Amino acid sequence: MKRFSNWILGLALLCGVSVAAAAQPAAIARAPLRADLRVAGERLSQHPHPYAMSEEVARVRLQKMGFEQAQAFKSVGTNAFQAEVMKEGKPQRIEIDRISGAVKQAVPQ
Amino acid sequence: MAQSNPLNKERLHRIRHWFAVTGLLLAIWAVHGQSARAAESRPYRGPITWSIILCRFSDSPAPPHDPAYYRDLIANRRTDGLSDFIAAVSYGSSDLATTVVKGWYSEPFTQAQEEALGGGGSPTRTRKYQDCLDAAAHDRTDPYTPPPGQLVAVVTSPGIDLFGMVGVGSMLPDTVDMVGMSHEIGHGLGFSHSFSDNTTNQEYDDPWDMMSAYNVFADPRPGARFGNAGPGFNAAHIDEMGWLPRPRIFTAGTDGRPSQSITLAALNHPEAGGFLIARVPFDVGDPFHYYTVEYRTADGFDGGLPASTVMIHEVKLDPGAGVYHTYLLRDNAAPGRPPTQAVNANGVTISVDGTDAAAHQARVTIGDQIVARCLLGFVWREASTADQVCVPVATRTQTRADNAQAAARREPNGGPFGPDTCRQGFVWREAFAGDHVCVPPPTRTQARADNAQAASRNNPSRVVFGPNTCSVGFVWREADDTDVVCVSGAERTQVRAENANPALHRNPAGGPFGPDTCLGGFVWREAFPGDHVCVVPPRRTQTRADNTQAHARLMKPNVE
Repeated sequence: MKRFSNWILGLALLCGVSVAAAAQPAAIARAPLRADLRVAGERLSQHPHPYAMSEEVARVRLQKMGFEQAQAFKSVGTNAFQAEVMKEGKPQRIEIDRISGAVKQAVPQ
Repeated sequence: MAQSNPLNKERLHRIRHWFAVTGLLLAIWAVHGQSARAAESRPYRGPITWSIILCRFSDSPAPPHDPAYYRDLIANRRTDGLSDFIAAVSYGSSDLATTVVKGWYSEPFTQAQEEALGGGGSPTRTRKYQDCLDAAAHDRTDPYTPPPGQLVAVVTSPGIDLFGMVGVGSMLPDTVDMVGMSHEIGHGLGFSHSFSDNTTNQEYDDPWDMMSAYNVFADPRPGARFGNAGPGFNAAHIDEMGWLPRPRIFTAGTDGRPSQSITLAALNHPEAGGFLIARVPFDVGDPFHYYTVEYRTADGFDGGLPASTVMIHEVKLDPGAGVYHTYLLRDNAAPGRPPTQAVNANGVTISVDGTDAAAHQARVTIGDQIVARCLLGFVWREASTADQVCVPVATRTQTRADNAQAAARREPNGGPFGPDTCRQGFVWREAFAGDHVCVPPPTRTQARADNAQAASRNNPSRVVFGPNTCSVGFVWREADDTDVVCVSGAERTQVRAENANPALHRNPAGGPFGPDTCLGGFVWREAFPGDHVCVVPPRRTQTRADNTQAHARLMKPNVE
């Protein structure tokens, strides 16, 4: 009887482990990284891509979009400048995304 | 100007020297992992075929655009998208119309798992790229594996990274605009980033050139379907691809004139009259080291430029990278650091006489002292202070020694030729009219031979042919004004003969291919897209073989 109980217990334990394992997402095996991508990755790691626009370029872009006299540039967020500009004669504080160039009103501080 | 066969000994010597240097550069270039050129190679004509693979993560929200959007953005013509951009900057030589867009494929990983692979300095960054390729390859309903060697752009939704790999492809966000994609296409063509002459921050500091993106003067295009666009590539990059018609390229000094005023057409307005680029060589030791001058007007894909302007770049070797880069000369002390408008350095003067943005033309004057200099390996003989005949160094040394001996070799009491009468065993050198320095007869013979060779040893600008200079033994095919594929001299002769009568083997009655239909037994040559000269099939086979070999036959295979 005791042996039977142990067997039941063992089976229950095994089932429990199996259920728990099934609830976990299986680890997905990745193929080895292609040799050319490994080389490219090593090269990129030595040359991170500083692709955002500079203050000088942002100023010209703002001018093209009708924002004059951009000044007091300040880096904000991950990739944006905050600047004081004039639009239609009125001063504004705006933020320009240094990748997309999108302009929005700066959040009042 | 046609590239001629390098026939004479001096030129062969010089070119072998360049070849040795180029071989070294190629080795460095390969070490830097840029040797894996894809199908695209210069000179490049015809459609550029990329695979664009769209991937989402296991927990991604719905992507912002369907695949049709990316086809319009990248591949389809007449959408004001990337294919039209490439067609514009290549003057119709190329586009992206054959590019394939596939997706959206689902990766088995979450966005967080992919982001954990890192960006910036992480060496596992490119794993994100491969995970998308693997998802496409193993997709159950529409598996896709790009053809070997084809450039591939991976677009993920949401975007988690942005980078390019020369000769491989790029990784882009689903919000990618014309600017980002154009820049990566440039990398795919082989372009490196563009630089300026700023001593502290050179890379990405040519905002007038797409290869400095995103630090570029892009046209904001408010409301445009694909957002920002432009600017175009600088003239040196366009030249590199072989997209400039040869008659629109000016190389200073090739005609021996030390100074010339020329008209430049805006690079983005080829319909205007004038040269599209001026190359100004000055480095006797490196024919690929020169200034370029171009004019750009602030419209079209260049609509984001601060103003229409002339620009001067220096194309030079970056010894650390082992490749040539383009360096925009900027007035770094002036507000906004505009492009430098005048050069006075390296024996070169460049000045802008005037610009006419409405006519898309600029007038510049270029002075270049290289016309008076000798090819590499030669120096002025200096038999007199005015003697600039180019001779080997040993000959100049001999000439100086002869000059020093002049008095000792004259008859002290004169003779039948007056006070300059030479002693027995010596004759006048006659390096120039009135040269009565007494030398042994073989030296006079040598001087005469050097004088006869003078024209072939001076003015190194004559042997500057730009980035698509052929290796020794090859010449440009010149099937049309833009054809700079390197072939044998016999092949060029054959092509010229075929071009002399292009209608010779056409069917005068036309046919299924219109008026260009060939007679039976003849086919289009197809040296470039649209080359409908009718030839026998083996000639087309030869032409295709030459096109395949084009890149390998360049003297400088790496790009700026």
